[in-house]
Amino acid sequence: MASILSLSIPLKRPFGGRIKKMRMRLAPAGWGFLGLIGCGFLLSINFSNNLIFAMTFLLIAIALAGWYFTRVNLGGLAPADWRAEPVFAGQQAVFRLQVENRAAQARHGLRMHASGAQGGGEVSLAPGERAEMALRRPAPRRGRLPRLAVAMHSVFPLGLFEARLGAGELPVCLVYPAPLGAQPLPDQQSNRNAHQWRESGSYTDMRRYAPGDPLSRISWKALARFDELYTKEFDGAQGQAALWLRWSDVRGSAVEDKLSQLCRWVLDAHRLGREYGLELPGTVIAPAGEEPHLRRCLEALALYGLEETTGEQAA
Amino acid sequence: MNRSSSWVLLTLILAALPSFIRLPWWVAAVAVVGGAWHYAGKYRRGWYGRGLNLMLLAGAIGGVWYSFESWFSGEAVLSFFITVVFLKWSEARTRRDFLLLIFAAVILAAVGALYFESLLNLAHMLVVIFALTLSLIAIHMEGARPVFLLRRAGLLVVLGLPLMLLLFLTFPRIPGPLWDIGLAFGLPVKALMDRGAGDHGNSTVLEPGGIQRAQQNNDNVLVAEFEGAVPFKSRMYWRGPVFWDYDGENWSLPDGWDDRNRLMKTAIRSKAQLDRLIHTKETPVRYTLRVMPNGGRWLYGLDAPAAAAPESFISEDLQLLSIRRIDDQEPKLQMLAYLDYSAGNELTPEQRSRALAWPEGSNARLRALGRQLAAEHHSAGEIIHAVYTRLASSGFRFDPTHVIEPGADLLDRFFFDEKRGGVEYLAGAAAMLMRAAGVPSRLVNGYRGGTIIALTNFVIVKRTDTHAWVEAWQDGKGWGRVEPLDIIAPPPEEKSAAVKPKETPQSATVVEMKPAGQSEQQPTEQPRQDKPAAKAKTPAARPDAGWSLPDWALVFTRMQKWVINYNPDRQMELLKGVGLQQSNWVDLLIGGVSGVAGLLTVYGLVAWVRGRRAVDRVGRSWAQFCRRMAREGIARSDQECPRDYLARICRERPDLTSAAEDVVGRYIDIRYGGGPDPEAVRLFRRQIQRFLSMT
Repeated sequence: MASILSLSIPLKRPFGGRIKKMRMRLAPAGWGFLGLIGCGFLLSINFSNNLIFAMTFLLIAIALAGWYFTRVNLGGLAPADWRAEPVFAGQQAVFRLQVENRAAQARHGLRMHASGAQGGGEVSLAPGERAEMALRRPAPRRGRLPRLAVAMHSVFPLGLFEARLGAGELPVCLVYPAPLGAQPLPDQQSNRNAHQWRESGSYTDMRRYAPGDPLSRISWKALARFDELYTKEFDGAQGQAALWLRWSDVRGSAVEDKLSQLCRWVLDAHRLGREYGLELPGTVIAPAGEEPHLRRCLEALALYGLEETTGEQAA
Repeated sequence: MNRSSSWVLLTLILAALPSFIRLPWWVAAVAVVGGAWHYAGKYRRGWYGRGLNLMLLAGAIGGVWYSFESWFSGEAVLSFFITVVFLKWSEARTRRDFLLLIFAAVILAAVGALYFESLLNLAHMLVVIFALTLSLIAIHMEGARPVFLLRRAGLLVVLGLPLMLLLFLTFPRIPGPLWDIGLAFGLPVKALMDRGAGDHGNSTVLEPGGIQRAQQNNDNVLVAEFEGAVPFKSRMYWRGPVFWDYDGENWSLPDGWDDRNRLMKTAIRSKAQLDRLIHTKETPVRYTLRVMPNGGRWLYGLDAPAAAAPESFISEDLQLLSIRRIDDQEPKLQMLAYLDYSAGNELTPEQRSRALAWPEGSNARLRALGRQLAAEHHSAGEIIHAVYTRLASSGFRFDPTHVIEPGADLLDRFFFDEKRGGVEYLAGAAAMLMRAAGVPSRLVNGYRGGTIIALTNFVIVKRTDTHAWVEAWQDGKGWGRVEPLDIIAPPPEEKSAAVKPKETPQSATVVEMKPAGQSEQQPTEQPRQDKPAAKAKTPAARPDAGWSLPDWALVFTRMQKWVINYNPDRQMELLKGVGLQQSNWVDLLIGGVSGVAGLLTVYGLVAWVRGRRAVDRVGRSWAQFCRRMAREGIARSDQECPRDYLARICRERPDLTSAAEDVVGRYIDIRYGGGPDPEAVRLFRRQIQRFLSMT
């Protein structure tokens, strides 16, 4: 699970893009404060008491000054892009983004908020400092978590007003089926033995290195000679047969249970270092090993039967 | 949360401090226990925590029962409130609890300001608000350092002060209690009022100091709704008991005056009879009168009533009286009154002797002075004039709070020695002086003026408006009002905007005498300007101000005038000072709102400029460069790194190669090279400018 599926969405660019409008509203404490000011007015008018008048006006004045501070508190912040890793159903998807304070003053009490997501704590940023802010979102079902608008909130300093600034959207996050099921990995009773690329066979070719190639295949001699990375290719072996994880092998009838069992198998097979192929109705993924294959298989499981409806959303 | 909650406790204690001083000791005791209980850690949770809180609450209720007469007196409620607040504090844990407590602290501070109205209290209020701001910041920012909190809160308060000042000066003031307004419009506020004091209509004696005592009471006496403009306050006399008999100390009504049969016999029955009695009738005023229950027959009609209303009659002394006692109901009458009048055809010998009676062996000096006046002048009018002159020139000071020791020769002591006191001494002395000079006179008790409800034609008369004045008999003219108070303390000039222009500010008798008094009243005007009560309070506010620097006392008096005693008149004065002659509350509101908006704009500009300066300059210049290139047709895509971008520029626009190489190279050096180098940044920005001007 080392790789990261990061879908990047262009967010507010610190320069160039249009700066999003900041919205201010009364926080719950602000409503209470408003009531308090009302009380103050009633008292002062009722008793024609100038001291209470003065106090009420000072409260108003402080609230107004605080309004500015709250507003300014969100200025000069440069949020980067949200990142998220796929999760298994039942877990919480964690979204992270970096915020940089480009203003000369410190920023306090910053909080990310999206409906249906739990925010991390409040963050303070010294001038020039960066901090990572996170949002957690429950992922109860496999598939894709839809996008979600996020806003940065701050009630600093008085907590009477709340400033909100759009902070982009949470990206679509892939949710794999929960790995469940007690069935053991199927024996390779099938006669279709998988090809095992990892097993060394006879050398066939040398090609330029591409990211993701196993380190063991890098031709270090070539590196020493040409100062460039080359990958050696072999034709592999027919050694240990690959597993075939088939839809039809899973006992049970419920679709989700079957997918969960397959997911369990895929993870087990990956952990054992076996090569495996996946057969779903309508989808066949040829046996292979390594991370990208795992991801491909899990994605196929996650989106099984859903892609028609969510395809455009994910695009 | 622990640290920030201590700030909340500080706010609470500061806010409750004036109340602790005033209230019984057990309030402070409960508060201390409650305050400490918060820190008792695990012991305060669970049933023992609840138990202790319940015990303290029960103790507080017991204390209220023990210390106060009524469950709902102001102090009892306040004591209970304070204990509840501190008990709440003992169990407060969440941010919301603390918010609630902070707000409660504001209410506490406000209530404190109700009892102590001085500059010291103003300072106290500022401190409380500062603590409140601090706690608000603290509970919204956990783990902040005290220095940081102090600076932030200080900044907020300092920025708030000009706004406060502006609002304070310009906010239109609506005088009077709000429930007066409700009362005026017939809301059932009555139920809320204290019914215990509604028997002032039964007293038959006017004692020295009695008016001052009555004025301490804030109960409502009547509500009048005028048709058309409301007359000047100084011209509204609400007539109550008429006293003929003086025993050297008290003015009293005869025994059995209240007897219904006797009253009905002497009452003025018909309109014709009344018309015969009242000679001059000017300035008619129509109004609807609503009298609060007073336990007597008094309807306190405006002087002088033109006709009786149903369920009421006019007595021979021109009082408007109710046929039934007003115990529970609120009579509502349509009335017509003449503000300027003189009444009475002739005095019977019995009446004349009553109106000239002098208790033997008392107030010899006053009597001698009266005889002297009688010898010098001939007609009653001249004597009245002489009395006015005497009052104006003798340096009397109107001081409602000054109580003269009761005893023999009370009026002598007032008139010749002390020369200051409440209106009953003044009116009594004037009446007796005229009696001594041979002018029949009597004392009338009632109310003068009232509170005009803002923007309406309603006037509410309270017991604080209690007043006494004199009526003197002139043959051929009848009874005429003599108002000694206006001579020694002229009523403040009132705006004529709300009043019909034909009305003259003084009643007939007073106008006649006015010139004599006017010329000499200048020196006596001074004490009227700053209220005696305010003066008395100043030393309490700063006891050491008196001796260290005499000027400080003056400064404080001024501040007192502008802060504690700021009122709608001062507000208008201020507007005139700015150059607005004709102004009303709309101008004030507009001025205030635009002033606040202006100040906020200034704050906003400062914040904006500061924020602008802070933004990353390199990034800004780079963005400028990218925008220019985009206009040239080579827009940088989001994922394109500067080096790739440069390569593309060179490919697509070879003519810009050298310039772009320079700019991009510098950008890469600054961004990805070594540490920050101001010189490099400067050069980079200069190159960008050059590039922009070149292309």
